[in-house]
Amino acid sequence: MLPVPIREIADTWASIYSNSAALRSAISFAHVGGLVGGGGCALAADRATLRAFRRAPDVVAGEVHHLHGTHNVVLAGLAVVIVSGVLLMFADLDAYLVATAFWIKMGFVVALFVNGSILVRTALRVETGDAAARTGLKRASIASIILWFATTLIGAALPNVL
Amino acid sequence: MSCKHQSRREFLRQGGCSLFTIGALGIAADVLLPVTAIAGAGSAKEKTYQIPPADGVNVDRGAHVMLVRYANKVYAFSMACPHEQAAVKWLKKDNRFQCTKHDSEYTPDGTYTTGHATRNLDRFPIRRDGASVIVNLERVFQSDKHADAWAGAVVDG
Repeated sequence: MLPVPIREIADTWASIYSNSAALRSAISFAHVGGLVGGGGCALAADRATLRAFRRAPDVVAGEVHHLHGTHNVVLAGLAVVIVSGVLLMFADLDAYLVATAFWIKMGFVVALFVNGSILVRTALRVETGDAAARTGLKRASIASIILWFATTLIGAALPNVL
Repeated sequence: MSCKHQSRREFLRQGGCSLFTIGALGIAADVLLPVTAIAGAGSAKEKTYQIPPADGVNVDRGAHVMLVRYANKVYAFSMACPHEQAAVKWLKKDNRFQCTKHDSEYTPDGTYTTGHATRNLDRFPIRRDGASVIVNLERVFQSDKHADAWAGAVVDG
């Protein structure tokens, strides 16, 4: 049972959202655009990191340096995805809160943040010359690619299983 | 650059008006049909629900049934929009159903008003059993194919 103020906000927002095609388009664009921008940069960086592992160690160090610049773009993309996602959720709150697929998606989003944090910390260790961290960075990059696609998949399925 | 200052009296008057408006909106919201989650008893073929004590929209997501009490009548609608079977949601503030995919709109008794759909919300056969209603989930009445049955799929609340 939701608190009355939250219920009122959700009902009001659902009405505003459902009565404006422009608003729905803008929020959908923000959600997909954030995913394309943030996730696209993350996937490109992960792929470049994995490719660098097949080359000399100094190539990996150079790629790790680029990874730090990508991190802020990915975080900005995720922020847009989350804000627009909250607005989408409040437009049909009752349906989302009881949807198993929604909570699986939230689990993947949390996993993305945790893995992103591990990836950044591991990359710092690699940059300082810690050879043992290289395997961790490789694993985190592979996990990042899997998690981005898994989140996109469940996100695509979600509207169809509500 | 000029700056318009608000007097204390103006501030209180405007604040009072704002509070009155918020209060009025809150009272208005109470007369709109609320939405409640329910779960029917029975099998996958037939569900039994208590007749709602007041007008409102009661959603059984497991059975994909929306049990609506409106103007002393009780209806059992399928949650699937007749257009492309997407979920229909209740918009309390607008007092209507709306498809989440292509925005077809329906009145509380399931009558289609606008959008991509070409018929009313499908109704399940429903019958009264004391203080409960029994909903048959094995078939639905479509307003364009079974107009009489669709119109008759209602019990007094």
